[in-house]
Amino acid sequence: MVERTVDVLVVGGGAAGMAAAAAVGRAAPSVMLCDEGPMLGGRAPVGVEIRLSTAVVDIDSDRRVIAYGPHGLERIVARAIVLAVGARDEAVLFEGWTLPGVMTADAMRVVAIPAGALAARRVVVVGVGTEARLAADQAARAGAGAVRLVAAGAIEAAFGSERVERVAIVGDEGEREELPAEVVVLAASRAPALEAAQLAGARFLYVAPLGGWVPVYGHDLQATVPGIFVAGGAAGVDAPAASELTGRIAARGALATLEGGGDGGAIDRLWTSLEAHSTPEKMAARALLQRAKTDSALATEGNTWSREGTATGSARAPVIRDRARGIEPWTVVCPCEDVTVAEVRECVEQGARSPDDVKRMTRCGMGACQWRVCRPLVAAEMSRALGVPLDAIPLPNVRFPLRPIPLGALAEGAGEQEGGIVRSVLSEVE
Amino acid sequence: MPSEVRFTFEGQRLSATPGTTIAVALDAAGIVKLSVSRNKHRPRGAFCGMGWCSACTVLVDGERRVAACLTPVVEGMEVRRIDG
Repeated sequence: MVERTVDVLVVGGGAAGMAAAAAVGRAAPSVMLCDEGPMLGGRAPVGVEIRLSTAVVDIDSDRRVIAYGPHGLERIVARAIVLAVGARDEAVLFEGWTLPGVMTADAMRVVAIPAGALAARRVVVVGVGTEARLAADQAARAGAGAVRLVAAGAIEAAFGSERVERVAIVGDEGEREELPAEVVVLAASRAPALEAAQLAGARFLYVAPLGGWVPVYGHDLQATVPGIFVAGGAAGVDAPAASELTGRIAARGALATLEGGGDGGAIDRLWTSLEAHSTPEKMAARALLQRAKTDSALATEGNTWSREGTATGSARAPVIRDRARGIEPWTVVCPCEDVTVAEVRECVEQGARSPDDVKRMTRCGMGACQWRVCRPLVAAEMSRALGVPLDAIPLPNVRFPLRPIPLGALAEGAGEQEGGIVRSVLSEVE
Repeated sequence: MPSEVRFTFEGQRLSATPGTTIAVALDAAGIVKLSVSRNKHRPRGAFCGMGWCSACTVLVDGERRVAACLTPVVEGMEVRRIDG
């Protein structure tokens, strides 16, 4: 297997990753940026080696990374890493949400709209916030025949055989309405992508204004793992301008790691700009994350949860209460393994207190998505069943590989050197 | 670069603009059922669009499992559903 050493590895080619790469590209001798997609969101930054269609499948606390791309596996050792892996639209639980035609706002933007598939279609957008209004506006401009905004708590079901055909909505007074819809867009909530930071061993804190669980970080956006920085949606859900600024802050932090020292004044100025592009609630949540970095009693281990949440004020995690509408027990929470709400509730009745307990009892989270889709739904269902806040529901364990990779690629990486990939997998199994 | 690329899905001949992903090309052709769930074989489509949900995983040229939302269509590509 090829092995490379770089000064800075930027993971993710969105607004934050591109800003970070542009800022370090001129200053550090060797900078690499990898992204899972086939193309970048903008012009390639100067002085940066680009790896497209390349996923980070392993990362450890010594900043040793395994990436999987068109040429197989590659081992990359970086002196500093910027995790700009983004935030995601979360699934919304209602009967039929797993049908084709039900998609996240991101999928609407990169699949349905470029395909021209919204033209004259009836679109239901689930959510009431900024993201939902933006998605509704984009759907309308893409030629949708009708666009309707519905709160997450008001959508009862989507029906159809091979794809969504109609949805049922329950109004404030309990009145039920069925309407035809070919597309349902989920834009109710976004949350940071955590798995890479978890695998690297970072600690987390639940801060609701930034989307829930967020890696704990310092003034330079360095996580609790030395040399690993977070930026963009992965450092908390915020406006695009804020994402770009966090990319630049993380880049300054990474450069300071290389040079020893660095320009603290530049980071201060970037935080001042960030304040202007963010909200008071999000800035307060960021201050809490920074406090948690020095006060380890505030934050949890990413992979070994042991305590209940202590977030305060507006950052506190909610207890998920019963909805006005019911959830049918056969509603699927884990679309990979077809695990239902009833099965999760049964696990809780039998003593399950963490998503990993539910996983061992049902295979929930063991499919190809590896918890990425179902984790928020299972956590909410457990919060509801147990009457505890969301931050009292532990994060599930994350393991290599972060993305599905063919066994053939693993075999090619084996035997070449001490500590090959297969050996790592075997030690994981033991 | 040619103005369109030809590919097949489940044996059906289709074409797409060069550079578009499999998911976009299929959605443009009215095909949204890209996979079925492992146990109950329920239909699944492009859900996240960003490569993290795995719901759009398809079989390309009989050997590669790829995310349809991240993989561009190339000339002559044979795409199939993975049945469970």
